[in-house]
Amino acid sequence: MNHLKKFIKTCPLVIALLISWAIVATAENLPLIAKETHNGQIDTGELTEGLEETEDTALEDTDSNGENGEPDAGEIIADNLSDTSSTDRNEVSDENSDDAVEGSPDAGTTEKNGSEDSGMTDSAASGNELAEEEKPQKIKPEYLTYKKKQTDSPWYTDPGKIPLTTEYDYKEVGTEYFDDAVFIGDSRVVGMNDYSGLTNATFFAKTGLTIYNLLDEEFVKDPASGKEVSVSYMMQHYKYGKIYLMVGINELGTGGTKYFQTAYKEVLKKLRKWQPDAVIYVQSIMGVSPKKDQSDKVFNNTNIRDKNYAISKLTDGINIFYLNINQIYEDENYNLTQELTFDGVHLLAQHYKSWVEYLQTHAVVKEAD
Amino acid sequence: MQFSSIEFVFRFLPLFFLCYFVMPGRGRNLVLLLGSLVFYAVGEPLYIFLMIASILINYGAARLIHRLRKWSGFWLVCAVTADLSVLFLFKYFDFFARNVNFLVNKDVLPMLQLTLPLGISFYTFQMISYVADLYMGKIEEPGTLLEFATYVCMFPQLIAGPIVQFKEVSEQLKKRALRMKNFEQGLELFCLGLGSKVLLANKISIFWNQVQGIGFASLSTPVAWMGAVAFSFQIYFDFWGYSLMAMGLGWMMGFSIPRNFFAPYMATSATEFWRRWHITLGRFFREYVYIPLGGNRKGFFRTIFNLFIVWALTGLWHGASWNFVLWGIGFFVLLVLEKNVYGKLLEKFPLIGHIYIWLLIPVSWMVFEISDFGQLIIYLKQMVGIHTDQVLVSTAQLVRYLKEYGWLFGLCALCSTWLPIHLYKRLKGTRWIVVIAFAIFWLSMYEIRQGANNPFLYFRF
Repeated sequence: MNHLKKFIKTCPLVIALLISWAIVATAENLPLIAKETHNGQIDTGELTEGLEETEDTALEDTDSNGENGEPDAGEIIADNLSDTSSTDRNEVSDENSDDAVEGSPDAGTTEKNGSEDSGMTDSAASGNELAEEEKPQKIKPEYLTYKKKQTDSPWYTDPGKIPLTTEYDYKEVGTEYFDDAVFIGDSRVVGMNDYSGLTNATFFAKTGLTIYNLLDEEFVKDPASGKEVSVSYMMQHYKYGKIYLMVGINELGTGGTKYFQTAYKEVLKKLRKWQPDAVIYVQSIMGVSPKKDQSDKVFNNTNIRDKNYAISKLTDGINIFYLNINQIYEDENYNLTQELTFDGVHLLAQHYKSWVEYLQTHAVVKEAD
Repeated sequence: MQFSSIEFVFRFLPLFFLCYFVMPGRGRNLVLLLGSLVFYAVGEPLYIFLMIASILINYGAARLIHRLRKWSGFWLVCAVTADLSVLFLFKYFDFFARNVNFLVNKDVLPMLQLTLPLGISFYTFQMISYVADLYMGKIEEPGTLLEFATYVCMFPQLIAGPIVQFKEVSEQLKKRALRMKNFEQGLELFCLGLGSKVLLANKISIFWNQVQGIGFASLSTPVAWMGAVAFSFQIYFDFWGYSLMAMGLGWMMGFSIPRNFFAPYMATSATEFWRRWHITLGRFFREYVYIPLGGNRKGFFRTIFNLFIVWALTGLWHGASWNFVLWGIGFFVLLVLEKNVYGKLLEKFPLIGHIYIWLLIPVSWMVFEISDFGQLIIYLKQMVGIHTDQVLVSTAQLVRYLKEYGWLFGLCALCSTWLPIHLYKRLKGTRWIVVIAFAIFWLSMYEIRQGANNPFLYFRF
């Protein structure tokens, strides 16, 4: 008894910690002991389903608006056909990546592409010339194929394809092009805002932003009222000429690719509804460095490619364009070049400039009537 | 297993102390040794055998030194050579090979690419100090194998120091009293150390990471200085916190582990800084390198030469890379200058001394931290305001940083002064320290848990 008294008197901290520890442990059902490393929210309900079944998931709604051409079955089949045929052809010469790189749209000329590929792009080119007579044709992004890797993840499978920038007759523009542009995205876009030197554009960028909270999170200052409002509010109250999207890295460990794609599609639909005249650029999720790629089960380039493949399917080459930003920064294995980044995920400040330059040479300029 | 992990605090520690206290006095060394081996094996399942082998070799040598006095010098050389060879192989071989290959311009030596065994730099030095002390007669008896092994492996100081000397704990290894008061005070110290590591070092490290993420080429001068100061705080509170936790754990078990830091950033000269920073390392080099080389008793030039050796080795001990050597030699130059040129001035005008140290230390830590020489030059240029590339960090961003991190810088600065030490002395034994330690403990646990459960807290994109 005496000992106990003395113990209580000399060891108040020991007792306080023991008691509070016991309380915390019971209150939390011993999670501190049971499990302490978990990867945040894992939507086990929404695992990756092969995207093969959903080859054409572009925004059909925009078509049914009536302002664009109707989706006729023939075209979709043609799409799929050309897609699979190119896959087959490329898969043979898979190891020969030089060949594949040459097929990348860096040169951006339609004629080169039209000469070597099927009717799809041909008709796109002719559609451009005969814009007055014909309704615009959809242009699907083309893909660079590579040998699929075996994956074992609830979040992704290896698509075996890297979507390329939508083939289009892009114009080269000055920075004034971005006067009515808005950039929406995560920390990568925050970095662009901070360091690219682009000052005349609008930025709705926030670290940790995802496709799931992009529209509703209130983090944008409304210039009219000075209040914090959501992106959807801004979209409904202001008019933008161009919308650049870059989200997806934070979502890599939340739900499968299909789930992500569905959410992305919803956002695009709403943006189209609110800004029917805007050109929407879906920018590829920027890859990570080889070091990061190899060390991370979630934040790796296979997962990113799977997501990029999924969102590239949502573009139509009419109002929504896919831009493969990764081609600015990638090394020979299509990873983010190690020297351009410190943490493997974000560009060093000095390299954001080339992103803007890329956008300046990939600008969609619609002929004013 | 880090001290600042849920695993350690909530699993290992309670279980260990339960066994420790249940065991009667004689078995406690064994509990401590086994506990320490478990602690080590969690982080280093393979190299634990290397450590055990080293312990056996050194203990064998120690017995021989003790038994065969005539040959003691030989056995000492054997033991130290063995220890340093292992250290060289694991820590320095690739560095050495790279330089040799560079010099002869051919790949004559292969890269081994061995991973550095946990704590090897610390336990090697402890073992060397043990055999050397036996040789020099500073230790009378080599003790039992269990005592020696416990001394080397003791988990509080095993992986990050302090570098304890055998003579400091030899009595306690034989017999130590377990007092409730010591346990309580040890726990207090542990909590304070935990706070230093988790609440200060980990938090401010985010800023330094950001600066590295921006890239040195684009920094403005004020942000470059903020980055250097942030890293200075990070390394201090990290290391000090670890040392405090080690000290606290030692007390809880009935050991007195020596102090490793004593307000180093309040020094007024580089000489004084090194008497207050990583005290047990400075002591090691003084006792086992500087003095055996002759110290300052062999004339001016020999003294300078001895200092040079000590500081080049001090630098190299911190890592196998030239920037560490440069960092060590930088301190050598400063120490020689202080000793012979302006030391008196700094003593007379403490304000000048403070400013001198506060400017110097962040710069020195940049030399320490940035291993790429080109990058280091860029960083130092940014600090003095020579911008070769375009500065991309705007003033608006600086203001944002100040708003976001200003309070943390302030808090770190405050905790770098004498204040926490005085406060601790004043409050020791009162109820206040209990409240403070309790709050710090749970705040730290909260932070750790947030970080563990949610990797995005520290790493959101």
